[in-house]
Amino acid sequence: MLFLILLNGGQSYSQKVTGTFTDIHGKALNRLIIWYNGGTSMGLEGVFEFELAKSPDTVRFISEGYTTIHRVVHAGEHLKIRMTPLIHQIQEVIINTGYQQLKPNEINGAVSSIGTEALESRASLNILDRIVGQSNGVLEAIGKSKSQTGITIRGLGTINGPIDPLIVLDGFIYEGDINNINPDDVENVSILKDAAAASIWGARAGNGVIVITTFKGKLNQPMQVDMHIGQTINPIPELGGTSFIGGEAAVELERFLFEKGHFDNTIRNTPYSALTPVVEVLLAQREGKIDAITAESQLQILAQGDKRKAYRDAFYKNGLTQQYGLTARGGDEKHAYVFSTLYNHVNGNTYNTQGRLNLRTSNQFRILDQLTFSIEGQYMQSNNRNGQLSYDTYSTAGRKPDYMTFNDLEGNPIHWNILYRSAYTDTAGMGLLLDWKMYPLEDYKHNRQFVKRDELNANLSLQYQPFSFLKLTGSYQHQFQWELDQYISTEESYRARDLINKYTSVNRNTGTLTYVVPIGGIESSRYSSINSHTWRLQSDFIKLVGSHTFQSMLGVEGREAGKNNHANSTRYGYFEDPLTFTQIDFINPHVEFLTGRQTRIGSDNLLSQTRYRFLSYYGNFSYLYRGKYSISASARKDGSNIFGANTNDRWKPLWSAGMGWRISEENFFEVDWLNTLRLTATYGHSGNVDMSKTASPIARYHTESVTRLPVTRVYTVNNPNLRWEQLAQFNTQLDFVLQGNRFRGGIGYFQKTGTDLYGITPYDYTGWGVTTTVTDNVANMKGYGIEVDLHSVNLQSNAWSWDSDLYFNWNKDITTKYYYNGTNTAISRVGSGSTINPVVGYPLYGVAAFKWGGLDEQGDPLGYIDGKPSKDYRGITNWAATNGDNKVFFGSGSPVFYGSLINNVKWKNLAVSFNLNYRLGYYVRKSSFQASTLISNSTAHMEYLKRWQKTGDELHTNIPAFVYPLNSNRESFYATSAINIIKGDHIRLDYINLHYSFNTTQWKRPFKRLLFNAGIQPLGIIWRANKEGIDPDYPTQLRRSMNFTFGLKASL
Amino acid sequence: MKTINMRYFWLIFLFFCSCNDYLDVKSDSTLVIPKSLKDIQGLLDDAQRINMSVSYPQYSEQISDDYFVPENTLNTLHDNARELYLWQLFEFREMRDWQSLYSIIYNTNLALELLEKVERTSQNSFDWDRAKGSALFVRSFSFLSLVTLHGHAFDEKTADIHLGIPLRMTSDYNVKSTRATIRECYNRILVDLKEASKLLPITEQVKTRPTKVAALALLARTNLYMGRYSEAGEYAEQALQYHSTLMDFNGDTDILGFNTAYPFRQFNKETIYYATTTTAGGSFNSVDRPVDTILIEAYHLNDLRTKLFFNKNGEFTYFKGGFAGSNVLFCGVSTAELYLTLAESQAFLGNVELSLVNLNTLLKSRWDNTKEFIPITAHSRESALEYIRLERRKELIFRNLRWIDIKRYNREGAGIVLTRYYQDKKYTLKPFDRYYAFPLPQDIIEMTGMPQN
Repeated sequence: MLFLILLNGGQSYSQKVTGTFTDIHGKALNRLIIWYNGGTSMGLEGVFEFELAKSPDTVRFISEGYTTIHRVVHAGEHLKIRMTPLIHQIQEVIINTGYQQLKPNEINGAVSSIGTEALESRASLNILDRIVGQSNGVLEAIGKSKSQTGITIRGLGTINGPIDPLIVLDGFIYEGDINNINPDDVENVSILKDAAAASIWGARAGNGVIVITTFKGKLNQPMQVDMHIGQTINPIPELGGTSFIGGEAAVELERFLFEKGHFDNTIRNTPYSALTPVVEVLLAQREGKIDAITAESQLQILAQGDKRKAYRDAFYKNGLTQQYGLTARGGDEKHAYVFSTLYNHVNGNTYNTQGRLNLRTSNQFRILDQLTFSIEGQYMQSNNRNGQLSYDTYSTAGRKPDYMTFNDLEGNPIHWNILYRSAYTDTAGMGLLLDWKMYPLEDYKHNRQFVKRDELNANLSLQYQPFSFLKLTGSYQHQFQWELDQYISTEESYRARDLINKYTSVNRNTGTLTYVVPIGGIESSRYSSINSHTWRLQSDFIKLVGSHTFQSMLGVEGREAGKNNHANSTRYGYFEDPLTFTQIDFINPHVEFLTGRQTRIGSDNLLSQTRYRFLSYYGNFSYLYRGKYSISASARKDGSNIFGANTNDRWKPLWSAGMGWRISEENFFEVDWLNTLRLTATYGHSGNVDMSKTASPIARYHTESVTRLPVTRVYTVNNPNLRWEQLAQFNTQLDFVLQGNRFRGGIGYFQKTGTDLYGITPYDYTGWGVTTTVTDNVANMKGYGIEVDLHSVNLQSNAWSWDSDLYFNWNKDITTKYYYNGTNTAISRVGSGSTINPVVGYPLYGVAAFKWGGLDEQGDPLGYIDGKPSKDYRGITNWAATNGDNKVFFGSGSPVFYGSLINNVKWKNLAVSFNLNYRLGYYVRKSSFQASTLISNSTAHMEYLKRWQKTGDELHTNIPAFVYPLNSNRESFYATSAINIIKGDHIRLDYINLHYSFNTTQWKRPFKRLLFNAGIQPLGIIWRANKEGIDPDYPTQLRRSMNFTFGLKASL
Repeated sequence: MKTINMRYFWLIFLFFCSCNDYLDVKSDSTLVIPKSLKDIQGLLDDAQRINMSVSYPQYSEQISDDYFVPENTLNTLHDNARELYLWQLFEFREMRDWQSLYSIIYNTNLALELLEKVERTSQNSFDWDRAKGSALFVRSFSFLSLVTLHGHAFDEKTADIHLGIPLRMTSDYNVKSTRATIRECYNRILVDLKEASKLLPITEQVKTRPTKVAALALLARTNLYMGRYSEAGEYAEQALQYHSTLMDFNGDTDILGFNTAYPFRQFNKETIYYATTTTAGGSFNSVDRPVDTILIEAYHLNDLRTKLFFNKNGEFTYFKGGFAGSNVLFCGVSTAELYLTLAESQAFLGNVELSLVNLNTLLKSRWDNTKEFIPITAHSRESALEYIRLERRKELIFRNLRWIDIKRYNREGAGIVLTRYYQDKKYTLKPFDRYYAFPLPQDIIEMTGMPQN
């Protein structure tokens, strides 16, 4: 083949054609493919040159994202080709894998890309908010216990591992807080979803990769200055949610418990222990200190208290987030630059504050034609300060009754008894001890918490292009973070007073006091730092030979991430002015004043140091024939310094292969209404070994606090039988663009097969005992789904335009094999949908419940044993474990269908967009009344108020009677029964954005562009399947508060 | 072609120079794979796990008869705790005691496995022997704790039929657990303790480490449980030769005062081996437990234990907490237990006179020295044995020892019936009831297929 091409190239008749190619604005385009009779050629960076085989000839000029031009060309001509975009709403899509920038037809994997305009259309000040809903396969992982970023990509490929996608910022893994990324700095976001992602980014990319690319300066571009101001108002959130029964019910409840003798044990045995205000009144009455009428009136006053109102009035306000950004970018022939700064200030709902400053610069220097050097730096500083009290911070006597307030009837601040009765502490220390009361309206002033963080990122990169087809790149990134976390409780604070009193001894004869903890405040501080280095050497190869395009990449990457805890200490007797503290005795036990126990004051001094290293070799290869057929393959090997692992287990291999076929380029393809049709498929395989599990036991040293001897404690049990986790992914995608470019979209199918997956599983804990579960190879799973995205321009006229984006996802996952064969598995099928429950044949997040038999005439819930209604709750559980016909399986706890519909309506300069989100085909367990919280905490779900109270109530309520003493089996039966399962299906109006672009061309001064935008989010549910009016994604909330964002953007 | 060759050369070069050393750095400086003698001793010095959390199953105290729970207090407890108190609960899952004790056993097995790879030399022989002796002792202590809860009392007639506990001897959790017979369990304990008694030093710097004395004392205890009185007496006597100190309850330096909440110092001089069990599990707390009213009346007015052990509050008397210096329960080995074991053995074998001498030595140290000491006298073997066993109960109260004592007295025909009341209903536990071989965790039974009690 190569020979033929060379031969072909040899037939030279000197029929040279030269030219330039640009977009309609005259801006040079990246790449142009030229087809002529008997050959293909390529233009790069706006210039092309080729030789015709015959003259004249009809030549096709093709550039991705632009309308193909057919033109009659004569030999010797110099052409100026101006390419018209396929559709002006569709930007030129660049897919950035973090290692390579590619065009859609050069990649066979499943990738979504979000461009600048789509990102700008959302007003939110947070980059993640701008991503969700704008692309397929990205789902908000609401209520899932294992998620950290709050999103998942394409469902699950693992049972135990992390479910978060990997975040990549400007080509390097980003481990910081994603909220620190300035959303207005982001040029585009690519979401890599399939096996190709993993074979590019390695083992951690199994859950998908979000590649974020920031704006870079461009050569030969005049300076552009962008400014933006953004404000988000966060109204006071709802406090308490459904967990509120009101003051009156709480008083009655405590009276009931008091009469049952619930508090007698505490009153008798630990007379110093705190009691709630209601119990104090009832006790005073029982002891004859007050009469019944006084007691009753005091209780009535207490019943008027409203804890939610008390917190809201005293400690809450509307929050405000402000953001100010300034960016300048541009470039001359040799140098391109970006400078940007962002200041972000948060005034939180509880008066907490956060200030953050980002400074960023990016510079590219073209040293020689073949040599480019770039340097980027980012500095971030943030200061957080705690606020006042957030809801339910404090308890009294270990309870949080809803009648608690902070003021008495006259409005005077009152104290709360946290641990001790004030009646007791007032006299116990003969008046010599410090005040032992807690004043909530005062105390927060004496506790201060600061977190200060400095972060520095620097990237260096050198690019050398010795030949037009070869590019060598070396790059290096250094990340450094330094954090100080300080918590100060001054001597006035309850925390300090309590600790001092606790260990003070009083000589009852002389009245002298001996302190173990000196008078003064308590200061705890922690210094820690994070340090990472990443380096990468990569070669890129691209060569066009006739109709053949070869492209390949090979690279090696090393990474070290270290974390140090430099100091972690608590100081007592602390005063700020003059700055002093006192050493105390951590070694010997001291007698506690009230309880007489001999205890030690723990010293929390801790040092730790981690240094994780990773080394990877990676490469990919693709071949494109006539822009029609392509095949690609990539492979990667990841190594790390896992502690305790065998050398073999340190390395993880990953590979993938793919193909693409542009059907619309075939001669036989003569469908008029279809402009483009492309089919792609990939298959990939990855193996994974759990970092923390090894064949050898892993232990940690510490010094025993009592004996002062060194201790070796095993944290990871030795498991010689552990195998690798294997994941295979298949993906196929069909993309199309209709004639006239008004309608385009794609349909994809994916399948994930996992074998020997790690899972947390019960084991015979006789063998170790420290935990009742271990991580082991537990199950096989299969996941599959369909993704559809459609983009249409519904209306387009001079003044009006209306376009829509529809995203549709269908996905399912099931456990295909579960190795653990205890009979207990059936019980776990009564899953809530919030944790993973691997049961063969069922979804990973499966929702099941006990069959519900209603309430009987005593208000007790009924289940079934052997088909008959029963109240033997332990028996019901056992029947479920052995027989199982008294359970109902509902379905998946994760949406089976989900997606969004975004509409953009534009009238002249005004654009309005809104997003309808839908999540369908899943079930949720709603929160319900639990007597245990009522007994232990004096608070419960508001359902309590509608519970069964007298015979006959069973006809119109399903909420069981409150029984005392607690019957925990009855309780857990009700909580996990079918009556509390609701359909999760709903449609939500996610956001509305308004966007106005001022017509600045007529203005004399100075703006090139001026935009105003405003947004509201979230607006709420517009349709739901459940009739109770419950928000299935937030079942413990009654309403969600909306955030209002306003922003102004200007370009000079 | 040439450039391509260059490129591969460049990569191959990189591959070799960097990959091997780069990944050899330790990822977390605080981690270690235990190997050395110091690491092994560290496994056995984990006092929080081995001596201070649950060294003895708390259930054996909760189902015993030295205390009772008033009904309104019982109502505040979790229903599982309530059913346990009334001997009704049979199904336990994720049983904490089982976990804690087998996690201790894991440490000892790992220590023994690692020791095999450490050569015993003349330099390290003391440390090596101590590590091996400690591992054997601690494992035996845990096995004995478990078998006295989950197994019926040792009886020559049934010891090969009745099942005890799984005798785990490996650190690999993949090895399936199987139950050994009662005889196998006790034999294993005896063999290991005998070896430990030869390896361990006579004294240690901390009471959380076992000593030769502790091993001999535990041999005495084990033989007593098995009904082998002459061996029990011999071992108790041997142990007393090394350590016979008793505190004078009238004013010992290890006693903080009669009016203190927790009068005894932790690690006092009567403690031979320190171990405790928590009382928080199942919502029990020692201050919540009024002591059995008949038992309280058995203490003489001049007996100082009434002041140092107990606290009268209203109509009931409560236990103050023992040798742990707090409200956790001491369940280790003390000198007093040796005197009582020796006395009981001597009485059982007919040596009444000598047995009473030993008993009175102990009691005299508990007596108010301003009042005249009234020694215990008895004329028959039976009455001596009765006195000694009553004193054993009074001295070793809330030490988690009563439960196995009931079992072995019943084996000898004592016919002790336990009774409790709740909501006007009477609950009784007859001798040899199923509950005396306490159920194993149900989830373990389901996973391993071992027979349940």
